[in-house]
Amino acid sequence: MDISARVAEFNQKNQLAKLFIENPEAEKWIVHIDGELDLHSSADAQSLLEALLEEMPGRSTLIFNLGKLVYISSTGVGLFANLVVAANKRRIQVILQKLQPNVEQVFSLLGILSYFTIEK
Amino acid sequence: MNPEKLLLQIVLLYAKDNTEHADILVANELCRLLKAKTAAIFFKDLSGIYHLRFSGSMYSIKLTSAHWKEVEQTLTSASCEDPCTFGPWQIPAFGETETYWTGCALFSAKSALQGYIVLGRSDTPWDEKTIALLQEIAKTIATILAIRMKLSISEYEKKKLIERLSFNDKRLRNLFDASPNMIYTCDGDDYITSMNPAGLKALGYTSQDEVVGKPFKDLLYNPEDRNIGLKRLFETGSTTYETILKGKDERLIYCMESIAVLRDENGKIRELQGIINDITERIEKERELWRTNLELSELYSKLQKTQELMVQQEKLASIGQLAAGVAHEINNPLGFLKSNHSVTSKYVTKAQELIKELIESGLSEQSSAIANQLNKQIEKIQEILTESAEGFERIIRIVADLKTFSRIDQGEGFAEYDVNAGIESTLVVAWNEIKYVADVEKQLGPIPKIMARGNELNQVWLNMLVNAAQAIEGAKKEERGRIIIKTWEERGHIMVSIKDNGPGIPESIRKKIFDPFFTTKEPGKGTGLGLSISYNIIVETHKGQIIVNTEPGAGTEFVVILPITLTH
Repeated sequence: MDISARVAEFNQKNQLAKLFIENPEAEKWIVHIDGELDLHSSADAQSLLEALLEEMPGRSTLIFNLGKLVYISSTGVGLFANLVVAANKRRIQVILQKLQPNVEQVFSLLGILSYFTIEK
Repeated sequence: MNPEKLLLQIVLLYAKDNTEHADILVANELCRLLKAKTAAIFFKDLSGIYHLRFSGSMYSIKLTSAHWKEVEQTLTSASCEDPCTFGPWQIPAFGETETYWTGCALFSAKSALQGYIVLGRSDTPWDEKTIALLQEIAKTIATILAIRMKLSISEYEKKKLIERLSFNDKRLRNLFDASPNMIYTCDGDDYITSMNPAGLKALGYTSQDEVVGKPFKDLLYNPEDRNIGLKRLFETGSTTYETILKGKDERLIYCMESIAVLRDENGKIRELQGIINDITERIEKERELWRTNLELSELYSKLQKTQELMVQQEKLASIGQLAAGVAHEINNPLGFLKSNHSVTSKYVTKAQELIKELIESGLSEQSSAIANQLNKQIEKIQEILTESAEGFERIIRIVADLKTFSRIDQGEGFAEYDVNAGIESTLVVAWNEIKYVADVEKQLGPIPKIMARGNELNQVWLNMLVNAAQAIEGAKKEERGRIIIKTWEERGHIMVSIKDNGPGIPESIRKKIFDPFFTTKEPGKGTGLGLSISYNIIVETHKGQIIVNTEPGAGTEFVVILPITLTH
């Protein structure tokens, strides 16, 4: 299944989370995740984003725009931790952008904020 | 006896006593008034139990189904409309045999209830009048019995209901008190109305009074989470989501919370009910795992980068050895070629002077023409020699670059060096390259002197400034370019930034710019060694770093980072 079909399936299944992917430049992907990343949507998002990483060329950049993400569960934080590990292997840079204070707080409470590249 | 009076008497007896004993009193009264030896009422209640209440007894008697069948068979021909007489007969298992009996069914065949009333005596047979009266009596008793049976059923049901409710209450209470999970309830405005012992314990409270009446979100590390949870709850009716509770001692508890809502018949919220599962331990373990994985991954990336760097340095070192050999080999023949070139030049000049003297000393017209021609030939040789001189200069510069690159001149030691002064003097040298294409803005901050090889560092600045100027020139923009040179101190390091607004470095060659002999300049303008040498000088000799920030179309910034640890 191609990525756009998986995104559509994700949005259909997870009513409280919305995800969409942009590819504005050859080696740059922007993933927007809006709403709430709970236990279930995080697991779905992880398998989708792992598939996206597979398709991305090495040394490209994956940006998460989380400006409209209002809630994140620990599983959601785990999703980003796992993705960064997978991305590092392929020299893909992962950047988290526009984290809401309460979302950033969860990363920070779990003590793994410093492992992420965060942009305002 | 007046039948109406008798019926009234029966009703009064029932009115006085609402227990089953009233039936026995009625039977006694019938014996007295109708001169019977025995009066009995049989009936089957709604729960299928067979009852016998007869005169002279003390208690209601429960009949076995076999005895009931016997009664039924005897009275099979009797119905409400049609009382019967029979005998001799004995009430099964009880009483004595009487000769004359009269009986009547209490309920119609269609009714769910069954029952009979019988009168027995042995002295006189039953007369028509009494039999007819018995029918009336049966109707009255049947009505009262039916009402009483229904009442007793509802009493029974009520009792059962209360039992069930109290069991439910106990069950819920037990669940609430003994559950290892936190359980709480809140009112419609989300103020806590109760919390179980596990909840109080987890949060560090000793009594319900400490939490009851507080808004639930006061217990949360991030009160906003509650709004999200409640929004989900009202949209879907129940919800399970993760949240973080804050204990009395500020301890954080990671939780999985399920909330349900209880509404009244108008849809108004009566109560919010939540069960909270403490998942702190699980999260702690996961967090350790994530952290370890991230750390390993970071180390792996660093290792990869270090390996790349080592490969690059190894490349540089081998190129350096090659360059050293080439430089050495070229240097000697170049020396005598250059020397021969200048001597030749001198001889040619001398020859020109001699021809001039010869012409001036007075020659024949023919000889003069030959001398002039000779002079022209020598002028051409002069031009060739001048061009060759440029060629020599270029070769000498390349060999000098190669020598620096391969550290042939490495004898010089480290000396005190002022980075700002070094940049100023380099600017003087580079000015000729820069002045036509760009303005230079200097922002040289207060920085300490360091121990360094000044001439090498100056060469780095020169390389970078010339590169910047050439990049701006190459972009062929209308307006003049801009080069910003900045120095500052940061965390034990001296930082030098040289930034241009040229065309930037395309992504495709970004990784190659430090490779020796890599150049984008047109032939003759660069050896492709400038940045490679700079890299060696900064990273190898001075243990610093070079960072390149570039954006195609916007320009390039080289940041050189030098440790101050080598200072006096």
